Amino acid sequence: MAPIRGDQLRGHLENLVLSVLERGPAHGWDIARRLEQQAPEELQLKEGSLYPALYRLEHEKLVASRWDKQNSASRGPKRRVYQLTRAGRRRLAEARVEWQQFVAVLGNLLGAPA
Amino acid sequence: MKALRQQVERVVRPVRASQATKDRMREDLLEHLQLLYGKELARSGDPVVALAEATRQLGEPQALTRDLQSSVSRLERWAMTPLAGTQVSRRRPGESVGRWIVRTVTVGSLASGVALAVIVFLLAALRMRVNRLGPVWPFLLTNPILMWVSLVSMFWCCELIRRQVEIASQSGKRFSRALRIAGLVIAAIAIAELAPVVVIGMIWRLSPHPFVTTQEAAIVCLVWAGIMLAIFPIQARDWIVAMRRYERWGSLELNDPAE
Repeated sequence: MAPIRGDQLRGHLENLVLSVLERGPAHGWDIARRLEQQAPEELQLKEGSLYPALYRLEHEKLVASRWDKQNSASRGPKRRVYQLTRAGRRRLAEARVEWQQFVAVLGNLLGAPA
Repeated sequence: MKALRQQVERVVRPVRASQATKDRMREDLLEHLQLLYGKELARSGDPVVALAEATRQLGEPQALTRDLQSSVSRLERWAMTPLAGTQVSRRRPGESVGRWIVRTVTVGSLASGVALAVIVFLLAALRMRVNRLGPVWPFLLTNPILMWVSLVSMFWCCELIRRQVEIASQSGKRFSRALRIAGLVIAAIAIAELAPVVVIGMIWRLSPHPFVTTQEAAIVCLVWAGIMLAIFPIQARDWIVAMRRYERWGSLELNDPAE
């Protein structure tokens, strides 16, 4: 299967992040690893692009964040933990319905129903 | 590792956003890049290969900059639009603190002197207080000079406080450092408050027809003193944050090859 690159993910990355965070709060690094675990070969994500997606989600109040206190004592960079909000859960449920409709419609048009 | 910070700074420096937003972007990306580098170093054992692979996985800097810029709200982007001439106040990589303070305060004092002259002559043109205006040149001359002295002293006090704070954070002698810091704060406020008093005094001394009354001069001094008392702690804290940011990020040269 051909790998899915960053450009093809445009518009879907936010929903992927929401679905990863549904499993629990995570750092940016953990989010990237969870995505990698689910599709190690197919998904070729430029990992830096996760952060703009997280910031957009936070502006829309779909995700909340806080500094990781365990990590803040060290002199290294500070870590931020992201977690899904109630609005984020609702948005994820809507995104799943929209995706199923999208796949169903395009699948029929392409002659390859889901 | 400097090369990792340089890579992050290449991405974040061009983004038009507040310093707080950019600091967060830097921390997030640096943490991620360090972990990528550690993973690749464990895999290959070669620091050069690990750096190249980690930066590749993070993404192309210009694309990331665009992506980060799109995550900044329009209002914040608009508020951070660089105004003509404000770039002068930015500390250049490699520039000493003293030179930076003198350069920026000199430019600021001259600009304020010119602005004040324009205001005074406008007031005169509008015939406001024209009967009391008299020779205003002592005021116009002394104001930028005293503003210069006042601001250079205050910023130097901020810098001395910062050095004490940095030493205190690394050593155990916190109490004696705290006393020195308190002394410097008082000195800075005293110096800054002295400026308007001296300005008014010089106007009285030099001008045969001062265009402000004693009461007005006293009000100016009191208001200035209040403003200085209120802003100095914030100024000192901002100074420490700004200098730490400069040392960690702003001083990085981005044109040299990654080390």
